[in-house]
Amino acid sequence: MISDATALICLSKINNLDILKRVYSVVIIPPAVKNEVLLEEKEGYSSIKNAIESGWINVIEPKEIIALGLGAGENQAISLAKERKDKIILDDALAVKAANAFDIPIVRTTTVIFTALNKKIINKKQALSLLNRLIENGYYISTKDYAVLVSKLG
Amino acid sequence: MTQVQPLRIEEDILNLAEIRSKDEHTTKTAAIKQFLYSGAEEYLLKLCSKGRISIGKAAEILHKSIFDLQESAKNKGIQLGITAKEYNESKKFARDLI
Repeated sequence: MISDATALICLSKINNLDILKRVYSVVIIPPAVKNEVLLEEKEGYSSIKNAIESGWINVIEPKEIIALGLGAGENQAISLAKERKDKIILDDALAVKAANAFDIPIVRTTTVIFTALNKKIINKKQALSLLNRLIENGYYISTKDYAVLVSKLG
Repeated sequence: MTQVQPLRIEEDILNLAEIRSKDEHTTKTAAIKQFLYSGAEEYLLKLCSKGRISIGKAAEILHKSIFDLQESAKNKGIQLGITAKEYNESKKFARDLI
């Protein structure tokens, strides 16, 4: 599984970066994403740094970077996913469109939570708590869609 | 890189810049640049929310971190991320899982 910066930032903000490890074992990021997420003064710096040092977040450089008009991290992450024929965790609307153009399978941060639930890594109560904390920290879900998800988790 | 751009600015805005410069112990020019930067940030965040620019690209243009841009969007009440259509696909996937 490859990730761009958003999922790592959102999950580290709520101190739940390790859910990625529990769901996917290893997450691959390109160097530009590492630069975007590994900022000493920001939340989650230690957890991201530890994850990279312990190797479950693996930094791999794409052989060729496709210029997609996105940010450096998004360009590199999509290039890497295409090159390795791997899935990618993306939440940005334009980056999702770009990945769709290459038929790259996309997973969203919320999907990570539901996959963890499906794999019985977390229970419904924990899934709801994670969902709520993501939203409290700025992750966008419309009220209507949130209601549907909560009703399923209730 | 910066460039000089001749610009006519309303007197009221200049007065506001004067007030801000005194409040923030800075120059009037710096205050005007702050107004401009703030407007550019809001516009870029709106483009992000419409899926016309990515958050990574917006962060590069503004020389800001994605962390800070997400925080600005939250404070300004601008919704970033996936569109309704894309979210519905995600929701369907979530429904299948639960």
